[in-house]
Amino acid sequence: MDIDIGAILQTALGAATDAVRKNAPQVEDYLREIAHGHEAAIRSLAEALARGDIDEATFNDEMDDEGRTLQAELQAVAVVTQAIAQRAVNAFRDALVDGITTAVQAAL
Amino acid sequence: MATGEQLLALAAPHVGETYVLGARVPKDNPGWTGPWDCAEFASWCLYQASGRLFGCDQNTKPAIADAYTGYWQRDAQAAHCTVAVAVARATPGAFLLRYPAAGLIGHVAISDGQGGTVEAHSTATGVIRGQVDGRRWDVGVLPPMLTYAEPALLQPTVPPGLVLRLKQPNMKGALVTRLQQALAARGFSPGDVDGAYGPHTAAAVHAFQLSQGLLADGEAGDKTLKALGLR
Repeated sequence: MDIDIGAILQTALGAATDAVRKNAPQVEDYLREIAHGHEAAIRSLAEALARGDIDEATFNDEMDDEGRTLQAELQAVAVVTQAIAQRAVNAFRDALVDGITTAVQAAL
Repeated sequence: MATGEQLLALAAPHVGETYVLGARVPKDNPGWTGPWDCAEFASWCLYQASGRLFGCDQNTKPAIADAYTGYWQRDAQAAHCTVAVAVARATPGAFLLRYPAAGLIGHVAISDGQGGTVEAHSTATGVIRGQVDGRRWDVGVLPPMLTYAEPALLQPTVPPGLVLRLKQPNMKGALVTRLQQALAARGFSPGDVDGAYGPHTAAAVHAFQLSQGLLADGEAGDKTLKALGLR
């Protein structure tokens, strides 16, 4: 199954920077790097969901774990407050999950 | 106070020594050359560098203290010295910790500050130089009895793909079912073949990993799935 993870990540990055517009430059730069580093892992989770290797609840739970990792890294590297990192990562994670589940359902 | 770099220098010469899960190491014996397990190696290196125990059942008697990843989790949380994995990866002598699931073991490794590790890994490989990226870690740890330099350049980590493991609620799906079937076919009973990664499945994975000399943490990532013919 072909899921355009690159496009979904791009949309998720846009959602994250929209959510923290004032702090967007530093958040966007770092999230872009994170997205690159995490792309293979996110693709692996998306493909596992598409194949039925994991169910949707497990996929969502794994994406929550990804979000916690991203937030910890964002706070460490971008030196932003917990609230800003959380807002950015929540928007990023939600857009990612929406994009992937929509793509998987459309492909079924 | 000793530094992270000094701890790393103490650890590095032990690459190539043997691993035995559950090995007990006298932390006050500077001449110990194995066998090790991951937590014993980490706590021994830390004691040798700092003269203080961390990550052991009781942190008072170095000759008999029992190190375990669960005690590493306890001590790291009590000392409020956990950091993001990206920070540990960039900090020589920092620790990378995978928390143990209930009744199982986790894993702990020492960061070389450049994306690599020194760690007592498994029966098959012994003490090795490994990689931080592509593996699942819960946190980094900077024990308070060492001083650490501020890392120069932090880079995002590269996490692994799907790693089946014991979580609440349990992970579910067709891959878990295939994993349970493969374990059962090899004589490692996962309990009911129900597609849910519960404690029996985790215990069966742990037993299978031990039988293969793999890192026996009860988590099924790429290596374990490959060993079971599922990748």
